[in-house]
Amino acid sequence: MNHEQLLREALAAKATEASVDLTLDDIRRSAGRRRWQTRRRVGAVLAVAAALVVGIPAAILLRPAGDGVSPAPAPSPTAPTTSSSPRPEGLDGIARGKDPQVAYLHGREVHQPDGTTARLPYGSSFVAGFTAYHGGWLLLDDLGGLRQYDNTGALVLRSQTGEAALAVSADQMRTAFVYGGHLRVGIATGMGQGESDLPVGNNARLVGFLGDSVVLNGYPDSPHVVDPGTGHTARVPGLEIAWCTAAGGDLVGGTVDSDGRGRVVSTSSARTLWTGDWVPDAFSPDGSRVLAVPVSSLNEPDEVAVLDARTGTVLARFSLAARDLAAAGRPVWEPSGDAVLFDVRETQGAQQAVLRLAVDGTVTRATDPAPLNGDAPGWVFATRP
Amino acid sequence: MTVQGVRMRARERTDASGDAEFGEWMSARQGALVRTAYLLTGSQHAAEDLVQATLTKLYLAWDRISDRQHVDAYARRALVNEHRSTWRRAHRRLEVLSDAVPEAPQAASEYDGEREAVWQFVQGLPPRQRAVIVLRYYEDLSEAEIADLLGISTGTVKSQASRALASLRDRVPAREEDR
Repeated sequence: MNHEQLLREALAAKATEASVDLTLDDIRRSAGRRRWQTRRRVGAVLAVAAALVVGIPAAILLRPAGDGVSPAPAPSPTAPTTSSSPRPEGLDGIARGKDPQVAYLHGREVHQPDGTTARLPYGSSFVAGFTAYHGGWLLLDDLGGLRQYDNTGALVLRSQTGEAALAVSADQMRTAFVYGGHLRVGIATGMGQGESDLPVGNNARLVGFLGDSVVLNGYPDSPHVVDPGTGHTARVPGLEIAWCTAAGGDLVGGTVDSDGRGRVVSTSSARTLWTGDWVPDAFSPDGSRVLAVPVSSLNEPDEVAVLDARTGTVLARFSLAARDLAAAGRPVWEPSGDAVLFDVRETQGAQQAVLRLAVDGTVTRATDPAPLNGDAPGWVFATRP
Repeated sequence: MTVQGVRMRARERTDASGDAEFGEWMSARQGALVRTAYLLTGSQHAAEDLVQATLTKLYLAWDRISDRQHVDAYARRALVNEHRSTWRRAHRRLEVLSDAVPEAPQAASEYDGEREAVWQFVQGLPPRQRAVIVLRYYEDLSEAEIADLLGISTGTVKSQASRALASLRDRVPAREEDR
């Protein structure tokens, strides 16, 4: 039996376990609730619009002089809009720039910025992130599983599917990962000495380093800053889900509520720096900028932007949709903090490449275009702070 | 009776016959919907919620579905769209918070059976890839139909399916007689 047939059989067998017994009355009742909710949403939008019309002139008239004590209200960055192009261009016309200034995996080859290469035992088609560890490698596979290989390429550790994550500290000396319900923090170049191991349960999702601590979603419940040595936790204020951390600073970016509005908070001052329609996705190495995607297209971004991390001001933006492109994988900042790299694929065409969005708004290709088909590998960037 | 009263009575009659027709269709089809929903969500509870939301949408739109021959296709689209909007509302890191696959260092051979290993594999796929697999290998839709349903290119459907199959081959070895 081939694997396609196996899939068919397994799905058909599993499907028989499901059952439901809804009545017409159940649906009538939920239809009534839904009609009400729709009206309520429309009403709320109208109310907000009315408040804005009245509120703007009032704010101009009534705004007090700064008292030096009350924090200024968090600014709300301009809502992203997708610019349109009459004819999608894909990757055509985007000039070739310099090669990526970070390590990346293409196929099974790890390409270092200095031009050296190394070979991984697992190809980039199945890898979501990787980092050097204990003389070998730690890999996240595309199903959220974690694999550790030693320096001979032998598999040391492997989790099944899950939601493993990797994080690297600001000085790139330490690596954190969650495995089997334990948060482990180790010295990347060491051989296991001085590692910490903290039970955090299977719901904990690693976000990133924040100084000597790490930020976890789902431990204990909402996002918390966790000291991996002592287990001490502190709630990240004002976030429902943390998405990214400024590894060397005190900023955490994430979403606020079920509508998914983006926000950056300062953990040292417990202040919200801004809330808006861009969701922070990756802080620059010095934490001063953040790559963000629109709330409206969170999982399949149609646009990316570089924001001032502390104010939410848009510094540069690039519409993927206008060029018929889709982002794939996780973006990464180059060490200079002047540009961010991301893997893109043509949604209607047949090419893929790595693009570089600089903070001055220029966009260049960091690789030559490669064919896009089921077997062609993409690019996966090494996990960075 | 006033003109308005006549209109109201006519509306009530239409609503009643539409309700009966919807109720009949719902009784016949909700089983199939929940099976697909279960494969998409991986949870009986989430599947029930998804089917109820889908049926509610259909109920509200019933009078506007003029072509009754295509109600099943319409319902499938509504189900998939509802599922997509659910997964989009949740950040990818949150999705597994509510439905985490136990992360334990175990080999595929430790599973009770081959089918269970395949199911564990499907549950661990990212939502869009899981939808591609379910629609392709359970609903038997063509790549073009899946692309249309999910709002992605056929190339993406192909690559998502082939990558999932490659991963499956890696994780669930073929039986001896297939080697």
